[in-house]
Amino acid sequence: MRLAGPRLAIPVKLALVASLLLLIPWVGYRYVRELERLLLRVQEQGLVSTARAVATALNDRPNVLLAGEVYSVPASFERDLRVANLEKPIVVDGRVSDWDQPGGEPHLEAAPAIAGEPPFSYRYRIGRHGTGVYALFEVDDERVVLRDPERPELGASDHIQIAVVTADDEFLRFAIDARGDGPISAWLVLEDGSRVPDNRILGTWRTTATGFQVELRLPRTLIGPRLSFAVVDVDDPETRTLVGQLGTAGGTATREQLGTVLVPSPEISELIRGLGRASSRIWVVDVNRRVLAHAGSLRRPAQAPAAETSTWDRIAEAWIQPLTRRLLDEPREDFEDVPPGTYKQEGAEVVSALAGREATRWRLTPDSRAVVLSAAHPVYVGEQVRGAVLVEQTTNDVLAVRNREFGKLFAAILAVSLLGALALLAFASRLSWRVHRLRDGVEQAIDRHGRVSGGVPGTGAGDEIGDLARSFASILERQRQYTSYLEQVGNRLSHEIRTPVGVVRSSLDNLRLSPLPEGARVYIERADEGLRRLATILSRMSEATRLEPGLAATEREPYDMAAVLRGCVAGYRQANPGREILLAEPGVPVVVLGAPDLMAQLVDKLVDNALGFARPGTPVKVELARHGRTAALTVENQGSPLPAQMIGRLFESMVSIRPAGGEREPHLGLGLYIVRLIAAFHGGEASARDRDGGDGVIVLVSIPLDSGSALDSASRPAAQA
Amino acid sequence: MAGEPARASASRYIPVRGAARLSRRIAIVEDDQGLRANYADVLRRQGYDVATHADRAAAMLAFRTRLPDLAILDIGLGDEIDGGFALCRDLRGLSATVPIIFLTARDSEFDTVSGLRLGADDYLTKDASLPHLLARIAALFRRADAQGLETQDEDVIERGPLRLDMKRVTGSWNGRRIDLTLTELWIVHALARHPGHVKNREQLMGEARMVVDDSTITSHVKRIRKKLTALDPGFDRIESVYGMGYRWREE
Repeated sequence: MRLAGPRLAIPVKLALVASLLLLIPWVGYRYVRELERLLLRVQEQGLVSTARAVATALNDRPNVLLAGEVYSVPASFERDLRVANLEKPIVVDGRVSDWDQPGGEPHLEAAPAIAGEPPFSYRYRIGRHGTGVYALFEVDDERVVLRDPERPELGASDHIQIAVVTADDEFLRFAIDARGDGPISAWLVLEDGSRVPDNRILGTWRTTATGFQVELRLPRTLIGPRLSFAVVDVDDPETRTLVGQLGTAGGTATREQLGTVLVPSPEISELIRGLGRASSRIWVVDVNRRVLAHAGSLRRPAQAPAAETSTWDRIAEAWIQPLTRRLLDEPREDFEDVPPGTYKQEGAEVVSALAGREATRWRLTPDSRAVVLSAAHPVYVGEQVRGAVLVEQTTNDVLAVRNREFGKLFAAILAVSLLGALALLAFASRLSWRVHRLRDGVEQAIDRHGRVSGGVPGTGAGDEIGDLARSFASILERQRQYTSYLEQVGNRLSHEIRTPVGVVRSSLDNLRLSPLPEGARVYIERADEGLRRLATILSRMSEATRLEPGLAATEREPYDMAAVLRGCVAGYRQANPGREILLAEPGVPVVVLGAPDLMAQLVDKLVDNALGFARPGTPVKVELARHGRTAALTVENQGSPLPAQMIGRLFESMVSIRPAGGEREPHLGLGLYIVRLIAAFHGGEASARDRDGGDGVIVLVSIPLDSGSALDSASRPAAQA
Repeated sequence: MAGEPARASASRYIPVRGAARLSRRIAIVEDDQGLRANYADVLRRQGYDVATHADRAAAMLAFRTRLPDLAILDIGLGDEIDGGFALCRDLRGLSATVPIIFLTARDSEFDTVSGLRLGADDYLTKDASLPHLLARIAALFRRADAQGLETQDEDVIERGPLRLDMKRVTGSWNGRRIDLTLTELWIVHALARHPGHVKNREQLMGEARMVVDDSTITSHVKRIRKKLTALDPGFDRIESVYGMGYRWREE
């Protein structure tokens, strides 16, 4: 029976236990985090190794590192002129387009004002290719003043000054101007301020919407350790006075004012390009932390999708990645990097490396989208630190690996957990279903009349539930045997007693046939009467059990229940003069399928009971009615109501509610049992209840009407029913 | 609806002593010693020559030596549950005519049908009183002696195709003999004597000299109908009046 109150079904309990499985993904997450830490450490070590390797390659190669003078000049970055090595040739046509290559970026440092308050600005690009050094100046100037042949003196128009210290330590100054768009005029400025044309410098002047552009080519032989440019602005074409002067160094007038030329050695570039790896960047800086060369990029090349993606990968792609993205950061390649023209590296690791200690550093990109790991290692010339190698790499590779591994792990864990959960659920459901089936089976195995009518399902299973089922089956079998014994006991008893009764009867008969004293006869009569009652008991006891096998052999035929009822009631009235027996029937044939003899027997029992229980002087009412497809026979009497505790058992074998003793007719409680058997034989059922108000009892027998027969039993003789 | 009238009328059928003057030999096969002795006593008192046997082997041995004029058999004989049935079959093998009565505690429909099918002339339960038993024995002897008797008119009932000769204890339908047991014959007789009158079960029991329950009467009537229907498929003379009994329908 079910217990009241909240219950946890087996599947719910198992689900609770199975929720521990959720710890597995958490452990997996921890594991992947640990893996990530390890990978990052490995990456760090790898970067340090790379830095060390590059530094080792550069050790003791001063010529490779730099031209000599750089080291003697104090760090004064605004005076450094970095000349990039250009890969592609530059056409000196005044256009910017061919500068669109590595190293061709404009220098962005603010140009120092050499004189005046310049109302203009400029950007310049400088690079080296082949035997030439190329420079491009983009000058923003509201009023461009060209060289006027009438005013040919130096400084009377917008022009560019160039000062160099050549490799031969010769100090030379040049001036570049133009009379219009096209080739420039290059002048060698002598020490006395006079000038002479000089054809070593070639160039093109272009007037633009915002000012002018000058593109120059200087022969490489002209360029020594020092070089400075200056742009001189003249705005008033009348007065031709100098408005302002901007330059790449402190000035062009004296040797000391010039800036240093920094020419990245192609050897370094080659070297580090060879050492460079994908998605890492190598910088080489000098002791002043100036960038001498760099190679590589932090951005990883776009990964080509793998040619063969397994179904598993696609599933992981589609279902798992959205999940992992929520848990883990996805590496991004659109982070903000340092500008390409950067030429100072002032990170702590560089400072440390220049102090002689290799170091690593973690930093976020300015936009916080990526983490950059860098390692720096000093470069020695002799015992002296002469520079440092800086290797940078984002952690995106590691993150990608981590995410991929986590994705796989997560997918596997998810699949395993899901399978496990499903299996557990299925198992639990099946377990639960089996227990339910067993419960229902056991509940249904005993019908409402207390008879064991069915078997217990699941007795074939080899586990504990099977044991339980077998145990139930065995209990039910014992119950069935007991019930069967109870039902048979009447029959056996009557059978066993019949022989001794026969002995007594035949003895009495013999006595009666012998001459007896007069006083003895009365005792024979009494013994005879007792014997008669005993015989009636025996006959009734076996009646029910004799009926059952008889039912199985009885053929069913359609007949009119109303006709049987009419005959029966007429008979009862005859047999019970003085008792009022009322009959109500529909007046039309009520055809059912069964045996009329048995129906008569059923009615006998009901009316017999009703007559026995009716209060003296009250009628017994027999009623037959059709309710839909059912014939309803009720037998009603006034008198005591049913004892409450007996209601469910009235129709069982050997259950009697008659008061013990005081009657001549023996009652064994088999009458309603027979009623039930016969009703069941007709496919119907019997029930009993109190009359409204509790005055008496109504027994109801419902029999389904015969649907298959078109019998009009009114036209058929009842005799043959 | 117990059979009060049955007992009241029973004494009428105690046969007169003279009926046994031929000193017929009756074999009783019964495993209960007390019952056997009681039956033997009353039969001897009636002038019959009685041989009693307790089991099948002894009885068969005696039968082979000398056939009884009538045999009263119990079904369960000692350890043999169906010993009486086997004995009945064997005895029928020895003689096709010797009257056999089953007198047994077993009252199931199955046993009754089995016994009669094996050739018994009647089947009684041990409820039967001795006068009832004696009446049967007398009737069966009368039937055996039928050839030698002249039939009196008052002993014959004719109802259309039905002819009952109570002297010879036989019945016929359209001239063909109906193979009825004694009980069945008496029931048919009780019904046909007063056509149209409903005979209730008590009355039939009285006529048939037996004390049985309602369903046994029903079984008997069912068997009678079956036997007559076998002779005449259109037979419908025995009419059930539910709750009251049966009646013989006139044409």
